[in-house]
Amino acid sequence: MTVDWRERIGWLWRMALVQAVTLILLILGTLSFAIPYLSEIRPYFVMMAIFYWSIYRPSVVSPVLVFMLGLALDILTQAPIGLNAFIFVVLQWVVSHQRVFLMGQPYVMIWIGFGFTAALCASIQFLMYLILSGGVPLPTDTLVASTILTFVLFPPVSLIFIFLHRLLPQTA
Amino acid sequence: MGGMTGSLIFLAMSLVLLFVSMVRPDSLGGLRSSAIDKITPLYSALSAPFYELADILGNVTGMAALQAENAQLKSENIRLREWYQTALMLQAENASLQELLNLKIETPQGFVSTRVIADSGNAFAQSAVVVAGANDGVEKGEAVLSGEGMIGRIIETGAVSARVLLLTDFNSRVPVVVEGTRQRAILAGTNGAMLAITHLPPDSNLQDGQKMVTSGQGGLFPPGLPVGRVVTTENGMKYVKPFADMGNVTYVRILDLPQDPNLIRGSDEIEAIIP
Repeated sequence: MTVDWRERIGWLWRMALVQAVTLILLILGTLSFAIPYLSEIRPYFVMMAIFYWSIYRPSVVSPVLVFMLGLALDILTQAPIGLNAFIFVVLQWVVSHQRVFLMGQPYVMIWIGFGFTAALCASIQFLMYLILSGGVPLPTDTLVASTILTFVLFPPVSLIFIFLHRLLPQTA
Repeated sequence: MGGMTGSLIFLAMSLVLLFVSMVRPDSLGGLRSSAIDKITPLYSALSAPFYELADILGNVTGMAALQAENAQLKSENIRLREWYQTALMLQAENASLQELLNLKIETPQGFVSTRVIADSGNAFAQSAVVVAGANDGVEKGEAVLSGEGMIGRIIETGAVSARVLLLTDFNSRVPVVVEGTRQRAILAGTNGAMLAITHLPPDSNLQDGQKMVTSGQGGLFPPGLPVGRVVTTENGMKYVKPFADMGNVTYVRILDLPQDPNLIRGSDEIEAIIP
């Protein structure tokens, strides 16, 4: 059965839309909103995208893509270059190895699993920064607040992913 | 299995990059500023609706508060008018006295005003991106102020954008002097809201509420820029709370580098009157 070229183009722009949303989430994480505390306590939007797609559509988030996303975030946020790239590649790797288990779980379990993953990522950030800076600990209160905010905001943001997921073809 | 090798390759690559950024933190600085430059138009476009939204929200919710504020502003205006007259008088007096002394004061500082479009958005680095760069005469090292006081200095410049290292960043150091005294100190960022006071003589007696202004030592910043106020935290340590709210700055002013703050050139005219 040959695929109609029109259908092919339809898939292409849908895939592009998914990637565009991920990019917008990345930029949202670095934009200035002039709102008190928001410059330090900012949810990790991109992490949500990587987590969701690693479970439900791994072809959307390949290792090279998450690496580039992390690198872009490092460059834009003045974080040590390679830090977010490292975290994102680890995240994608770990989650895609658990995806068969996670896919069978109810949404609440996915959410809780995301909370654990976010906490794990924050811990890696803390440890890496401690090593890189030669023993300067990051302010834990902002790190914890960001992680909690990321956890709380996962359901509303994942609604966008669920919507995008329906647009995607069954096999891709 | 292919996915696993891919992950391992990129894990290794990110670790190499991390190692490079640890050993040579400056080696990738050019990459950062050019990347920020490229993305600046996108930032400006994306942040514009948020600024407008904030304006609209401010207008809607502010209606009730406006009336009270108006009354307060009117009374304040009357008081300020008196001050204005006093200031004019003092300015005239100051000018005539300076003329009498033949004193050459430093030329007024040039500046660029601009908008903050992005901030670090994480706990690692306290920095912000502004939409003014080398094309607008912004140079590395220049002091950046908000309406309330100093917020930081320029650390990277692209053509149309620049990055500001905020006072609160762990790597930030600012030479200051306690206003009204000659006590000098260095304010160091802590990655938190407060600035640590270092290199203060042990016999100095700091009081809560004393103002810290830039001392101009080192020649990077002009002297007298307001930085913050001394506060005592619960554990009894003295810190400085910056006047400016770093997380809530929209517009900033970037001061030109001082010509040479340690040299005040005398007037040439004085030679003319010496026979």
